[in-house]
Amino acid sequence: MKQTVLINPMETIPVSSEPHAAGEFWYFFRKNRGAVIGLVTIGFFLFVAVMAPWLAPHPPSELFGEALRLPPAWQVGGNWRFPLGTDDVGRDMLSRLICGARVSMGIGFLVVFLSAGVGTLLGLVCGYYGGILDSVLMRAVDVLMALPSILLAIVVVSILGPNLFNAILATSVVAIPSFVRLVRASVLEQKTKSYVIASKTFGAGAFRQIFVNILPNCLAPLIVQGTLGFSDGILNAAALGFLGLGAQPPTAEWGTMLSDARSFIESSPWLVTLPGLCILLVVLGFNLMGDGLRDALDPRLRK
Amino acid sequence: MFGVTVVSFSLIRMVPGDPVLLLLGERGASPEVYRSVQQSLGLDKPILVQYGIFLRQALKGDLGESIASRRPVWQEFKDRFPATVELGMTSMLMAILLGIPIGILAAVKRNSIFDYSFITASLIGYSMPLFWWGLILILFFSVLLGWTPVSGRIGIEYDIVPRTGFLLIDVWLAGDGWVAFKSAASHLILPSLALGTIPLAVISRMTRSSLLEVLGEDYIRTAQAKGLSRSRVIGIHALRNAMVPILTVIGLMFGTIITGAILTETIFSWPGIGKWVVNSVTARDYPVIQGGILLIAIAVVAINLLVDVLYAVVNPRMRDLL
Repeated sequence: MKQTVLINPMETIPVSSEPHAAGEFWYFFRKNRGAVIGLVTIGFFLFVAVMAPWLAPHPPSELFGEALRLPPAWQVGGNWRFPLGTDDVGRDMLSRLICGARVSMGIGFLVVFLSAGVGTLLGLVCGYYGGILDSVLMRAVDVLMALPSILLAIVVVSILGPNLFNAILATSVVAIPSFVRLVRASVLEQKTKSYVIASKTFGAGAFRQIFVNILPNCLAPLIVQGTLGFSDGILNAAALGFLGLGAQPPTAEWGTMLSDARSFIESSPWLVTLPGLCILLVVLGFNLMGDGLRDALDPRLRK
Repeated sequence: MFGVTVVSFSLIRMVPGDPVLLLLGERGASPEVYRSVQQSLGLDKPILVQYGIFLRQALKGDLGESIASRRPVWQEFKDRFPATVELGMTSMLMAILLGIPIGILAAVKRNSIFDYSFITASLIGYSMPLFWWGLILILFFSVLLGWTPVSGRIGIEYDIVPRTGFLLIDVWLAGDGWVAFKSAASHLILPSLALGTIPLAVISRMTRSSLLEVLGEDYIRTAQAKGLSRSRVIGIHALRNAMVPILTVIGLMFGTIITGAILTETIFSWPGIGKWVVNSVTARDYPVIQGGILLIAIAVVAINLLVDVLYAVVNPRMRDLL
């Protein structure tokens, strides 16, 4: 790491062999300190999310009646049995935060999977075929983008009823338009390239053109948008949880935990600070990594 | 715009639950009463007819009346809109007035400690979950320091007759003077701070990067070579050209402000349109949701148009495109 910083980047790339795309990407990504910090943060929360049942000292919903709103261990009255204290019904905060990581990461994955999946498909079709379908869908996208995303998500949740699954659905719906726009724009750009036209003269069908030829070349911006979509998804789902329209109380979801703790803000501030801090760190991690990915994947932004 | 009416109308009609039952209470309505209420609300007609009526009325400026309060939606909106505008304007002003100077400072002192701490702070500000940030501000300034009130627009001891709807102005018109003004301002400061944080981070970051780009141009070196003072080069020559992307971002931030207002108003019990729409969703107040979404969308589109016009004022090259 230290050596490469001192050497001119042009010299570290061997002249004889073509640098591998992945290696080149990693080289530029690694140089971005923020991106690496983001990656480490995400890696940490991902590890916690996967290992949640083994890491949590107590089951997240177990009630300890004798220990209501106990402060974190280092404060007066704290107890190392509950390192980060307990909430208003005596549940261990640390365990709930750890399980919350699992919920939030799951939300992020599902939202990106759903919105990127649907958005990419629509964007590919719109960009490749054009015509009436394209005009109608793009107007719909314009309309959806004119409305504030949270407002739209609130409306969708109110239609379907407030629970975690519907909150995920609502957050995904809200995220679709940006994917459609992005993919459509790249498809329109790629469609005119000579490799696509060459493939067409060889008789490639629409399916092959879209998925084998065009899609792989639209991936770079899609990956960046996907990473940023994670943070938006987690943030919006937590906001819905906070408004009481997302995950419902027994679930250890960070936004819902925050809204439960609002009335105890004066007496037990740790109930409010800790879940929000987790949300902030995860969102920050994804934003940092998204920025880093954009810089590393787009040759024009490399310094 | 037309699309927004279709979306707001059709989305809301899919909401499960019956507004008539909600209005009458869960029990104690005979079928005759039920039918008459349904008729008076126009809910017995086919859905397309209902949409047609809604559209015709909306074009005439009549958005129906709230099922819960029986007052015209437009009236309800008009009562609450100034509160949101007041909140949004102070947040935006704060973000612009702080963001641009901070951004300039960071760009001028590039790679200094100030620049680095600025970059870190703006990144954190940009990722901040607004609903948590609002609570943290309450925790710090209201609970720990006791400086500011927790919720509402003004102390309950004041009964201000709304004239302009902007409380900061109304207190003077009502003759309550300085004390009431201070009460209103102290209620306003925390929500504005919370709502203004994300725009502040984005605007200052854009100012920094845009200014850095411009400072590398040849004409800046020419201006410096002419012997112009540093403040004149940066303040007039560079900033003028750096303003275009900054303005774009400021325009985009209005959308963020409206989204954020929904959460901020909920946290601080601010009686604006964000809280109004959230409450009406829980109450299944169809006309309010429909009208509210429509009016908010109109506001967003109008602001975007305004920003485009401002664009042309700042950047002459854009004038041909308008």
